[in-house]
Amino acid sequence: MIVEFILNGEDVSLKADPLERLSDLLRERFGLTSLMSDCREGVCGKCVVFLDGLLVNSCMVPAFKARGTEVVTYEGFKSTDSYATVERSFREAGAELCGFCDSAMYMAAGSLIDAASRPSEEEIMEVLSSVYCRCVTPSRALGAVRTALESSLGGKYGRAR
Amino acid sequence: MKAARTSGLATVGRLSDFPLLDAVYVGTVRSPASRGTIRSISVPHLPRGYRSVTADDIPGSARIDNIGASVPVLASGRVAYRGEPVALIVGPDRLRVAEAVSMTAVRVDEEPASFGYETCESTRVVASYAAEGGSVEAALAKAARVVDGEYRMGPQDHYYPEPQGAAAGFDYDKLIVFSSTQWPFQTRDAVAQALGVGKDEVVVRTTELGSHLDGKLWYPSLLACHAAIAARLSGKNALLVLSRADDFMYTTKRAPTLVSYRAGLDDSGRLVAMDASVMINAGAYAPFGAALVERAAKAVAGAYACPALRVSALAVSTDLPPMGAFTGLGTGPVAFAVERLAEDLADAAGMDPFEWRAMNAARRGDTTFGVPLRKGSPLEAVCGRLLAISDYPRKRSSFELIRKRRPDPSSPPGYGIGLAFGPQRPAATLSYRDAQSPSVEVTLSKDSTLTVRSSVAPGSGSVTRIWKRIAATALGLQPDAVEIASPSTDGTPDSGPNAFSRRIGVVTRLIGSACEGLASKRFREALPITVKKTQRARSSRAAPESPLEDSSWGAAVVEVELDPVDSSPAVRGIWIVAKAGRLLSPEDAAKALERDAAVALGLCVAECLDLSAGPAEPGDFRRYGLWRAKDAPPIRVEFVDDDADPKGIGELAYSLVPAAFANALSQALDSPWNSLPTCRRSEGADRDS
Repeated sequence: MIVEFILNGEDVSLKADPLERLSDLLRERFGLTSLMSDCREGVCGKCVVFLDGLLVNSCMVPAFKARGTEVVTYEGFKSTDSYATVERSFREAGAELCGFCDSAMYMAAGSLIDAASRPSEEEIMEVLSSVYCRCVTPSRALGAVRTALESSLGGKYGRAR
Repeated sequence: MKAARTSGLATVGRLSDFPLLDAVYVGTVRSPASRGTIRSISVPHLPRGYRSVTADDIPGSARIDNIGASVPVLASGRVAYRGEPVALIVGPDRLRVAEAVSMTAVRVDEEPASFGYETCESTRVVASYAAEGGSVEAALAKAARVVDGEYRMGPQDHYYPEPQGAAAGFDYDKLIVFSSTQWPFQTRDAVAQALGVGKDEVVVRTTELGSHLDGKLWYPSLLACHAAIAARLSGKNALLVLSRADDFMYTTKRAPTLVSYRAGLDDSGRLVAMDASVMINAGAYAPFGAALVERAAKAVAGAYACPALRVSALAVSTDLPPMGAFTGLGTGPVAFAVERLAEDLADAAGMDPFEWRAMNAARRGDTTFGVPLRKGSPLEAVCGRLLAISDYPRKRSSFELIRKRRPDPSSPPGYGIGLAFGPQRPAATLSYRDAQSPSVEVTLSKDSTLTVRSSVAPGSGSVTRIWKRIAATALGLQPDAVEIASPSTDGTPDSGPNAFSRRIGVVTRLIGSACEGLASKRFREALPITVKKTQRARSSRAAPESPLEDSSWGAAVVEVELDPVDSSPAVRGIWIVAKAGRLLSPEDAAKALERDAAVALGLCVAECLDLSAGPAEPGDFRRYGLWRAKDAPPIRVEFVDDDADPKGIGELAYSLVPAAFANALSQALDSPWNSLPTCRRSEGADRDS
């Protein structure tokens, strides 16, 4: 089948097996190696992308489900203000990440910044936990996201909340 | 060696990013049986451009034998565990390779397999270590109280950030191997041997390791041999990356261990005798079996003095995939056991657990291991701070009151707090290939940039910063002027395996020493100047040392509360205090210990793998409960001031947190909890479901 969607702001079209994993399409056809195709079972979260604005494990998305959607990978996310905020917050909080999970973790954190409502601490940890890596120091990651929320959302939602 | 020029082999960060242009994929055909004789390997008709590889096609030696054991590159004749590689399928399309692997039939005359290790035939014992000091029998006979205990720690998966694999390709006349290995020179030697070529014809470049938990000591060399053979026979770049499920089922796991004690106390509660037995399931081929038993045996007394000590440690070969290191080699399960025993002994003596530890901690001059200890364990300094920040004494007293006065003794008290104290032994060698001396090289170039070369990768931004800072300070440079070379066997000297805290314990010291040597030459010789520093191997004639000498020390407190409905434990907090010499980066050290404590707790309560009835099944991977960041309790880490040389802390949390957790759980349940992880399930029920 022909799969057409918007990838990192550009219209793309390709022939694919309807059940081919979106993660495979993105890695192998588009060379987008920021996402890893690791567990292929939706467990590790290292293949996350934004699909119509929602953070999803792309290994669990069949190609036909991507038709007509907007897909943003880490390569696209890196050009956003949210990325700049998240990256700076993680660096300043000393929440060092390894080269295997950093892109997914930044996107997970970015999804919190872009959320419609201010997330609670539990919600932050829930989202960060969707990416599994043994390199993460939980309190540092939480601190980084809090800082990112303060700097980017303070005006958006009001500090009183 | 046959040369086939390729490109794009300069650097590869992650194996999965290996350039796939004109590459072949390598699929592994595995043994369907746990033990037996291979009758036939039937490969389907393969299309042009595809080929199969069996042991007969290996150009050089068919075995890896520089790991204290001899492991077949591809099984030939016999198989020793289910999932053992018996053949490779090599071809340009990943899916077709996978299809061919699934269609390849391996027939094995199966024999009864053995997976248990707690009792075994003597022929299964592949390594042993025994030592005795003092009259153990006499001391036990005279002891006021004798306590017996059995403590088990099961297998666990390292869950690497990327499944294991390797890539290989020719660059003119050299074979370049990309391997996520902790020990590139061991991998290089294994590949050269398998290809039957000189070591200088093979170059191993390490890809990003991530959190390896010492699981990538030797196994990557097996995969590197597979990729190298495929590259050699196909003349193309070859890539082999295991699926997550295959990595889970077939690569090394923490060796399951049973530690049994019979310990005697005198009237005052002082430890007078200890008879310890350690049984280790080393899996098939038992790599590093001798090192496993020796390191485990030397840890049985923990931090305590014992005038009469007998220890016997055995590594048992079973028909499971090879087992091995897990943040330390053999010491973690023993640290758990001895700290659980300490709690049981304190209970038998009617003493507070901390008071018992204070009474029995090894002091200066202690001769438990036959030679006087030069520096005693810093129990008061470490635990004093720990008890204060965790409020351990008050909480423990409160929980004891609850335990003793609960109205219904048949239900658990529900609250517990546990303490553990112990050493992390100094960066050790494995007694095999790395017995020669680790080296580091620094070069100051004409443009005043400094390059640090070590085959041990810094592995994290914090260690990179520390190395740069040390080098820059010694030479009066800016840290930005210091470059850390990527580890490779042709560009960095052999610094030994990247394990057992060698980055801090050995390499950091060598970098400082090399830079000081360079500084003394700087204005006397023309640039570039290169200085190489080597840590001399300890002479066999040197005076023996206590295994506790030069250790880093730590203590942990874990607080648990049981769910009133199902009695599952919820951890309320973890506190750790460590004494590890001069801290090169206090913030990074605290962060690392906090992260390790969170992972170590997850290994206790969530990550379950039962191999007692056979190797892991595909479903076991899905059921392996990964501990997520959201599950981590509050963790507080502090360090005690210490101006000694910097020491490693990488094993501390994995030794201390499990024991402190089990001690807390025992109080909360009012029943000893002597096995970890807590969620070990019955094999039959698990598999049936």
